[in-house]
Amino acid sequence: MTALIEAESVKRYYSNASWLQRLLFLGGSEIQAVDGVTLRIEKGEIVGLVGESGCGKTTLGWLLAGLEQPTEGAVRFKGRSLGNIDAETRKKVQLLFQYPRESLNPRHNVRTILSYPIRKMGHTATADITARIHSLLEAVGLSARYADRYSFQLSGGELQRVALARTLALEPEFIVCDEPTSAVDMNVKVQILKLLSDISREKGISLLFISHDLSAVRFIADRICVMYLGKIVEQAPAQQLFDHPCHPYTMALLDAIADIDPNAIRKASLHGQPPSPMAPPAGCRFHPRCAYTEQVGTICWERGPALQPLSTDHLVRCFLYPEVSQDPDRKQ
Amino acid sequence: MVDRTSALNKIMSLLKYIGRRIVSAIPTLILITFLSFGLLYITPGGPVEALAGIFGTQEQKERIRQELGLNDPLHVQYLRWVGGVLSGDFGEMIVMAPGTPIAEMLRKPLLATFWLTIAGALIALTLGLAIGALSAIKPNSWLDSLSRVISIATYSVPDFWLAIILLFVFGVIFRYRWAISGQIDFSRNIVFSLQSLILPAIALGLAKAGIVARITRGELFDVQNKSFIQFERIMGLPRWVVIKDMLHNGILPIVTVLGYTIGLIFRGTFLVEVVFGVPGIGLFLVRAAKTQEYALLQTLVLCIGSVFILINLLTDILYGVLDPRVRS
Ligand SMILES: Nc1ncnc2c1ncn2[C@@H]1O[C@H](COP(=O)(O)OP(=O)(O)O)[C@@H](O)[C@H]1O
Ligand SMILES: [Mg+2]
Repeated sequence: MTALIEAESVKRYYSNASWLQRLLFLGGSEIQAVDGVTLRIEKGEIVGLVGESGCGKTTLGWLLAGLEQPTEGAVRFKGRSLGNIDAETRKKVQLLFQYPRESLNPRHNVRTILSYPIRKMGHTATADITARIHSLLEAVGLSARYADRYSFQLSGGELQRVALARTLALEPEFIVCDEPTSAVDMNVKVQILKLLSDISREKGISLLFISHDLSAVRFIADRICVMYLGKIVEQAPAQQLFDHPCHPYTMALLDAIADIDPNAIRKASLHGQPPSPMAPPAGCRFHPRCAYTEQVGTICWERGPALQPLSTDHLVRCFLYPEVSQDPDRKQ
Repeated sequence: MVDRTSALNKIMSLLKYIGRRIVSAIPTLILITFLSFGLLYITPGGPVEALAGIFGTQEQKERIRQELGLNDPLHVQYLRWVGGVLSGDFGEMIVMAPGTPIAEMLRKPLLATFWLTIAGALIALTLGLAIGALSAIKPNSWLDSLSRVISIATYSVPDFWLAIILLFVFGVIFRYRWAISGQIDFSRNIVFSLQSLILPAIALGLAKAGIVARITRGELFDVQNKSFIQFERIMGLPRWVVIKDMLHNGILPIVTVLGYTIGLIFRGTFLVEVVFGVPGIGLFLVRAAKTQEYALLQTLVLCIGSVFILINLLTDILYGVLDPRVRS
């Protein structure tokens, strides 16, 4: 059975060479924003994608939404490459942008903003459009009064709801949600998470939920991918990941949110910033910050580990687990 | 119909906004009338000496004062002058062409300067927008670098210097008659006037195209990466709708520099007119100052000030039309 959407070893490299450098074959340097990601998302599934800022989450989201073309590899929607898909099917794959204020045209009111996709879906009668605008606003929990507001008159949560309504107007089957709760406070965050998961369940829409906020991902996702410097380092069902984190990076992330007492000694806390994706460390990309390197040995900076299954649905990329093993227990 | 009431609301708030802008321009306008009226008392000698000559007798001077109403209280004189201005009477010439109404005297120079400003602004606008848009489409390409060099080069040279160079090349080396005629009078000879307009307009426009290009490049570059434009793209909207929305969003700063640029070009005409011998406001201003033609000076100062107020007002109004945030 083919997944609804799947990425097969996709890479996205950015080159920052100027035309002069290219002309002189100087090359400049390359950013490996996404470096070989394989991911399948089934119909109706909510997959969480977590990782520190700059690790390539947005780039992966854009690749899956077809806004970026992969340098290598392919993204397929219902078995067909996103690169050469017809416009009709293309609309089924949508994206909620990271910054809601930037994602709504500041010169248009909500009515105009929503009427674009509604018209695009082939509804042209004024009465029809008005009715659809109202039902869309209702679906995202806003009253009809919002139709005449401009984006500068909306709060962060309201902006996100309007952006969602605009996306829903296109009747998508898959939505990439790029940090939809990063700009709002706690209450609104919970409301938006509820709204997203309700809509996904109700309409059977698959979501890729991107966030650096583990608690949000835990709330909404069925399955979670942890990303570090362009690579997925661990992938597991949500509950499994929180109960049995296997990759040292995941452990460190979980440790950071579990640690309420600031004076407690952290077992595997994260130090410093992630290295630049322009010059990723040799071997395992996490080794300079890893608490287990000494224990595992020189292999950590000699070779890059592969993403291996620990069980059927739990994958990890770490030399702590040397063989393809069916044993999900953590090595101590 | 909800749509119609919302459109009506939009127009009403726009009209209110325009009204507010016009009202708030009035104090500045009044200030300018004070300034231009006050000129009369600042200029050494003033009209009396200009008319009677430095060696005029005391009685002669007194008679002139009486005739011109200069013995009346200041506010009476001011109100009389403003009243005249409001009814289109700016006074009469005294020295250069005694008895000619200023309004008649100024019509042709004003028109010449007007056309020069418009032509210069058009050149600055089209060149600037084109160069800016080209480099925004392919940022960091060789085209972008080239246009950056051109932009910096053009806004580093002053317009009157460009004017002198152009005059030298086309007038002195190639000896084109139209290049040096300076005759811009569309009521007489349209083709020849257009030809005479070319070089001064290029000098004015080219010098300001660089600023417009840089701003346009920056704005379009920013806006084409904004998420709502990306969304329109993945939605598969027609290209012209996307471009329209890009322009609608990127245009405000361009409008701002445009207002500012037109002001600069208007100011630039004074010197460029002198270089090319165009009988416009610039040349007139110099002559009016030399001959102490005080009513003419007053009127010119008033006109120039009003032009700047008008440009600002139009910029503001355009802002309101384009940006809902400004008009609410
Ligand atoms: N268009 C681009 N050009 C050059 N570098 C980019 C571009 N987009 C992203 N990057 C780089 O790729 C890396 C990953 O960025 P991003 O996907 O936005 O990370 P995240 O969303 O996880 O914060 C960053 O180092 C970023 O600077
Ligand atoms: Mg991001």
